[in-house]
Amino acid sequence: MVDYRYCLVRYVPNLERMEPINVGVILQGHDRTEVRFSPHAAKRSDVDTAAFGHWKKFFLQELNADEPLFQPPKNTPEFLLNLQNLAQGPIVLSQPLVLSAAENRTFDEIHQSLLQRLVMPPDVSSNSEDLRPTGRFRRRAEERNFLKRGMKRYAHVAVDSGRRWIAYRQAVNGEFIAMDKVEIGRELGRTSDEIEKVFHITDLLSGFLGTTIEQKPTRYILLADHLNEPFSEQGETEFQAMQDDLRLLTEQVAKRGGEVIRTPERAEALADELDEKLPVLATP
Amino acid sequence: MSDYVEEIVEQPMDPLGGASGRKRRFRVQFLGKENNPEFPYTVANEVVATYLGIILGLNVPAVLTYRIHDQPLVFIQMLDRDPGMVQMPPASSSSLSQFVSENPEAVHAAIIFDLFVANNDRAFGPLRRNLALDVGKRLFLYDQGNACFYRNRLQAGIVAGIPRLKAVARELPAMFDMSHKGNHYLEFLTNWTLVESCCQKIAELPDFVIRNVIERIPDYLARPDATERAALGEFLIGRKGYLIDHIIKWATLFPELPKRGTNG
Repeated sequence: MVDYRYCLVRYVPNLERMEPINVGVILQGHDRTEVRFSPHAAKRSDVDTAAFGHWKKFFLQELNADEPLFQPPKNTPEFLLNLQNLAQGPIVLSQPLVLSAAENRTFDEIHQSLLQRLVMPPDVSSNSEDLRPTGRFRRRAEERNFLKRGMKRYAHVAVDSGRRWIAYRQAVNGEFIAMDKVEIGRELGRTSDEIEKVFHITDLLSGFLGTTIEQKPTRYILLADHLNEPFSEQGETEFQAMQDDLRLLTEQVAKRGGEVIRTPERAEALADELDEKLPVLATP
Repeated sequence: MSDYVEEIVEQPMDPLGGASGRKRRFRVQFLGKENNPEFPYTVANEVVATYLGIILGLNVPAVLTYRIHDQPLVFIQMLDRDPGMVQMPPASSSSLSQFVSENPEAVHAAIIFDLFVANNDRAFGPLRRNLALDVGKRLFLYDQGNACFYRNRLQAGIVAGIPRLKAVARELPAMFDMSHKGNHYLEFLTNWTLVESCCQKIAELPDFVIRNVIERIPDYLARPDATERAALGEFLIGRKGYLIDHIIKWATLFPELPKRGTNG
């Protein structure tokens, strides 16, 4: 067993009533200390969205800072205690708690599990879509209004005024990001089409990643679910062939400079990154 | 209005008028501290160090002395923040680091002040102790309860009161009994010119000002007694003169301070 320490991040809408809401988890272990927040917290009517955003930024700054004179080493209990002392106001931290986990469980799995068990509303934590990277990203994109904040859906990627392909999503903010997906949902035909489409896109990647668009560096991301079992109308041979296609596809995208996201945790991290980069809505 | 300031709204017939500007009433929140056997001089330490801090131009909280059922208290005003900032997080470690590198005058003034009043309970890190950046991004120094007479720390061989004053007056290292905590504070003293100008400012404090500050310790307080009050006056009046010499003599306590004469 491996011991981890974690603190619940709590938002207190009214300090006099002191009825905190769990909004995030800080996990420490394996030389890592990271925080995850519930994507639903900022949408609650009793949460001050702007203040919550500032606190999120504060925690991320503390966790990413390299200031040994101004904060304890990040892998120590003192680091959590220091954060606990600094968190006063609408955000408080619980006492550090200890969790013993099996050695084969990853840090990310444990973190996500704590978030779902202790922070997320019950109806959300059981949603199977969240367990797939494409589903997780779509859900977060909806919750955080990415489309209203400038993300494009099914728009042409144009390089040197030539249209190359229609990307599942595009975001422009510091970088020109094009994204596609291979979703293992309920429809065999749609998954097949997405695999075929991305195979075609891999031939275009060198032209896309080697240039700038709107004077911004380009970045390509493929969200690809795992094909763990055959579709209901799919035979064993076709299932094996599709698994091979998917593996080859992700290898080719990675080889040509694209990023391949195959876990819900990484999809969550991508959503967090975009959440930071996309402009904030003027009115919620 | 804010976490710590609340206005008392008057009714039209309330006789609050007057001829010295518009008057309004407020309730302002203070933190109350009192002496106990382990901390027998907290009230006096807070009063004296705070008034000296104010006179030296430092950003310290206001203090009031008060009695409730014969129990002497010192009230320390809670760090108030702009009403728009009450929900905001404190300065991040990176912001504090940036402040320290960009504001050596404020940092030197704080450290030299603490050396003057013999306060060893402040640190920029790794655990932040008794300092903050206020809404104006100025260094705010709070909790001077361990200055001057300090407190009893028998494990470290420290007896609060006159024995502590004498020990610190003899040698600067006697102030520092918390090195096991690994606090980072003294290493931010980096510039002799600033050290000298801060010490000079303290040296120019008139003796009567120091005596008057000690007079602010309420007379109904049993500790410090008259002998101890006199000893504190003697300690501070002497210290303002020899502080620079102590820093020069024990310069190795400040690892980032260059050899004297090589800067400024």
